[in-house]
Amino acid sequence: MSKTHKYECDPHCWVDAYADELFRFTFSKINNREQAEDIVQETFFSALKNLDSFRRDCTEKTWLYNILRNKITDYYRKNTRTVLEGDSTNKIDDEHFYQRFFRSDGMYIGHWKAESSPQEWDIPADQELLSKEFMAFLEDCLSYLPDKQAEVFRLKNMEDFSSDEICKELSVSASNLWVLVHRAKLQLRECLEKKGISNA
Amino acid sequence: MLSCEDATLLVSIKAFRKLKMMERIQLRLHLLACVYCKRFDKQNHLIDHGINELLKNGHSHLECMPTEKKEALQRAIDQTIDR
Repeated sequence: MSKTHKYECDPHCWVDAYADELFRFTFSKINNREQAEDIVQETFFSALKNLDSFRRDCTEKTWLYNILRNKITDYYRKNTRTVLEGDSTNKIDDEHFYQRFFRSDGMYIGHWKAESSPQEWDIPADQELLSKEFMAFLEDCLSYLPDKQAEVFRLKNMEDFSSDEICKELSVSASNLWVLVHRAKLQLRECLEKKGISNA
Repeated sequence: MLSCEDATLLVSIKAFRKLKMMERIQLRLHLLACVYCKRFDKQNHLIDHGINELLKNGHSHLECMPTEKKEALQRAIDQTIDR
């Protein structure tokens, strides 16, 4: 009769073997490099503290991933709360936000300001494969978005949430969700252009 | 006619919800007349496409933790075990 395989566990090799992989996994989930590094670090230490609970019926990699997933869930919980609490802190920006892009008086009220109007980009709109440069710029610009705006895209694209589900998750009304998306898009576009994407 | 502020709102949210018939017509008319919002629309499409790629397929496979962080981390782990 075959014996159940017992897996080995060697913390001396953890960083070399798993740090980059766990980091990439975390970074793709939370889109914040420093926080991702912290979470990986916490994962290793948490594993170290609980070495006795490693039952060797799965690989140490699977075990580390399980701990990591819990840490990421904790991060989301904490972060969603911060995102919601941060609601009132943007009030002052609110009044001036749209004025950065659109005229606030005169005959052309609500129309683009000359200095903020979109410039031509040298990328065909139907391009299937976006350049590495574009993706690097976009990734960078996404990291500048306020947490709540970034969370909208994460929920939509990674969790496949519907608009209703996003509203529920973030405790916002539908019209507030559209404002979040509108602002995010205006900022992302402006950020990409400032990085020189029109000449990319 | 829609202002550019209203038109960019509709452009921004159309990946999230289907626009109503009236909104579609108003937006189409605006985009015919406004070169900036037409650009915004095209660029918005690229941004949506890019965000989807980034978040769905994860980040670059070359992403690594900084070497000095990894070294410090391994040292800390070794010290904890040897203690």
